[in-house]
Amino acid sequence: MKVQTRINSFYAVVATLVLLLPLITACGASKTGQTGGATQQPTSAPPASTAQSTKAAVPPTTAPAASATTAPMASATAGPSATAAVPTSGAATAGPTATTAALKFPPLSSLSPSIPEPKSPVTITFESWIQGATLQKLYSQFHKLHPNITVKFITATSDNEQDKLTTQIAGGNAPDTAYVDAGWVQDFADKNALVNLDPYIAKSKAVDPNDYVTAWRKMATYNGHMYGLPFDGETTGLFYRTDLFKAAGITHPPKTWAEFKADAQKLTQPSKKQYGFAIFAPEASYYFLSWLWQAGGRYISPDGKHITLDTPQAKKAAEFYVGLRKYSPPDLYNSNSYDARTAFATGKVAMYVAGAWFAGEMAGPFKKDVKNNWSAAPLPCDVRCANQIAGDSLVMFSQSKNRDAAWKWIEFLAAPQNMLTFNIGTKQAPGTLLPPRKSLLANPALYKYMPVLRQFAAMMKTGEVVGQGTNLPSSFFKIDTILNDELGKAIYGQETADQAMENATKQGQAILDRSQGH
Amino acid sequence: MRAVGVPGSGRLARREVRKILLGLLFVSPWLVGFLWLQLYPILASLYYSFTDYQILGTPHWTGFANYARMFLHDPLFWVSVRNTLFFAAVSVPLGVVIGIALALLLNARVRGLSLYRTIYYLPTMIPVVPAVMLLAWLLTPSIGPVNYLLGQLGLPEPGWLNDPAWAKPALILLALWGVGGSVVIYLAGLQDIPATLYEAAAIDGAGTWQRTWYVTIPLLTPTILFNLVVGLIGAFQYFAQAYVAGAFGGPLNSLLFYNLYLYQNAFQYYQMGYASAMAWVLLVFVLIVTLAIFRTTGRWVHYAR
Repeated sequence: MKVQTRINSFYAVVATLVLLLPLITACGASKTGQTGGATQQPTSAPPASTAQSTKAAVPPTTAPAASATTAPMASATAGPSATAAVPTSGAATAGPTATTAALKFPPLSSLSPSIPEPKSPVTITFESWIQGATLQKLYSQFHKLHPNITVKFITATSDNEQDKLTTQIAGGNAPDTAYVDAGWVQDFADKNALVNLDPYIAKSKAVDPNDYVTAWRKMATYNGHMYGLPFDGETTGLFYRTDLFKAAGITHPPKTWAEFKADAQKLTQPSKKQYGFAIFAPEASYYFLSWLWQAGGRYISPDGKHITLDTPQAKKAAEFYVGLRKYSPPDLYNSNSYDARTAFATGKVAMYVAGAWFAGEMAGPFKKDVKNNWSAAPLPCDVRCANQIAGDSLVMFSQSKNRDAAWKWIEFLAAPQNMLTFNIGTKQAPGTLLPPRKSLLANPALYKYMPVLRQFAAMMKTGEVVGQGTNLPSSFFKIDTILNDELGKAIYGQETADQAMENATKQGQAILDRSQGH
Repeated sequence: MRAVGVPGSGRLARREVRKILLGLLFVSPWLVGFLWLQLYPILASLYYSFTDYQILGTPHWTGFANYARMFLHDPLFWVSVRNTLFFAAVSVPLGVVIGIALALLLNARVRGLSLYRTIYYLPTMIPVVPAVMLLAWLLTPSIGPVNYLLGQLGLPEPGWLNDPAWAKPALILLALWGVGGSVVIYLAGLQDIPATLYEAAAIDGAGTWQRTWYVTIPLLTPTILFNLVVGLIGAFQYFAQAYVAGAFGGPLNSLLFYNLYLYQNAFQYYQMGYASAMAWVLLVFVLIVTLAIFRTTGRWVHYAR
């Protein structure tokens, strides 16, 4: 009996250790985390759990259901720099450019004099995930100009705002106004949740639809009417480690696919745990788009009836893109562009494709790790140049009972000088977003805190969105999920890029046919 | 028929009515809650499962279209079914075996018993989200402590939650780490076994092993049945851990469990009608499985008294 007890004790101790081990190691981890600084924190997060928060920075894989002309920005010739040159040389002989531009701005006190001011105090609501000093300052300025209009701020997160708004609309409690992902505008407009802003825009001095960069205007347009005011935007670009480039003897960021591949190969040194690129299966379909467009491919035919992912162009793009897995750390296949930013900051990955938000991460929380060893460049081009875009818009909900007051508020925010203020941010927290207005993009004030953003401003005119002029079917998200899954399988090496495109086309077409009642 | 105006019976009836009304009044918080917050949504979800309801806009009757889509046109539905069945088939039996083993240990004479009991139960007390985060950190490829240890031992280092083949085993490990909850129930079951049976067995010359196999296990079967059914239902409804570990379904959808896919349809794609249909299919399936298990109980569950 005594022996038995001792054996039992032994087992009990072993089992205890097994059960406690995770807790003990965790305690150790939290200690190193405190001393280790910024690097430890993100690594301790599970790979996919923060995937939700990725939405904050990166648009979700269900790409914006918006449209853009195939020829990006019709007025590309009279692009940002050209438009800016006119007022600068025309208006002032002396004084800095910023002041010159300011002269051109409409007076904030009378942006739309023909729209009546409320006679008695009204309160309108504004739902957003943007807070901070800049917005508060803008609001106090607004309230001084419109003492009868009080704005109540409703906080949401970029993760949950779409769900929250959907529930609010269904329950008849929609806010008066909101700051939303530009990709949601058409969807909400399609559900009759938004106010057509055209009549207001016609009376306003603050908003000039032709001044918006085309792709952003199209994202805010539904059936030919504007349902949103584009407020900020960003493009996808190429971030690279200048130190690793130098060490590998690469003199400039790649401009073509061939250069990109050659650089990725040179930069990949598994023995040093260093890779040229990082590819992410959970975001595969989203980041595939740039390459697809660059190769001259399309997602969906112009009439919206055919999935065109099995064309030679699309297959070529898929083959190239999936082929980059060889130069990417397998550990990160299931990560995403937000979680994996540590890998770039610590020099494990030398080239990284992400939105301009990534610059904010490297210049802010990761400055200690990455120092000044990074820069950004436009994405390489193939047959043509193209890149994804994202952004946010201001909208008014059709359930609003104070539409005129609601308009006054979003119009005030959308006035060019306020868009500029908002997008510049502050020295402590510089913005990484750009105002999608051609007349503002040339303003040097935009780049004083974050010069690298000039690279992204240049890419706004090559920005594209899925559909490229087609109204996407409501089942599009399902099709995109399938493309994402198929590309994921190819990234994990379970099928070829060619098979992935074949499968995605076949399954996507079946969904498209069903949704159109064929 | 009761004559109008007969004082006695009328008063009695009124008192009875009053009594019933008063009773209803007292249970009304529950009653209202049940009818409004449970029964109505349940019935509404049954109705919506036959429509194309998308939260915004009015639902249109589509008959069995949602059910047809599920079984015939939606490969992801079958992926989620396979993932869930695999998880249930591995984690539940393992949980039963390990749970019983630990309970037997704790039931034995060991020094510092109450300390061990506390420790085994401890993981159960950790909320789901931190537990999953902890697991994900422990199993981080290349820099996580588990793979470091495996590397030092010269063993292969799996990609765990980043590898389609290892993601489910990782979550099964997590499920087993929280086995303490069922251990407590097994312990109660063990203590319910009459000591007289052990004495009788000992007198008949049964050793430790035989006593365990012929007395303990058979008399523990009611507890096993309970844990089996509860564990299976829990496995079929597995959600929070999978959601935290991979909101989009993990690498190559290897963590796309049934309820996660249901949730995605309802709250990410707003296909409320389709999600409702999925919920009803799950209900019917769980019902069938549970009934099937109860059918077999006559053959393997023994009650002491």
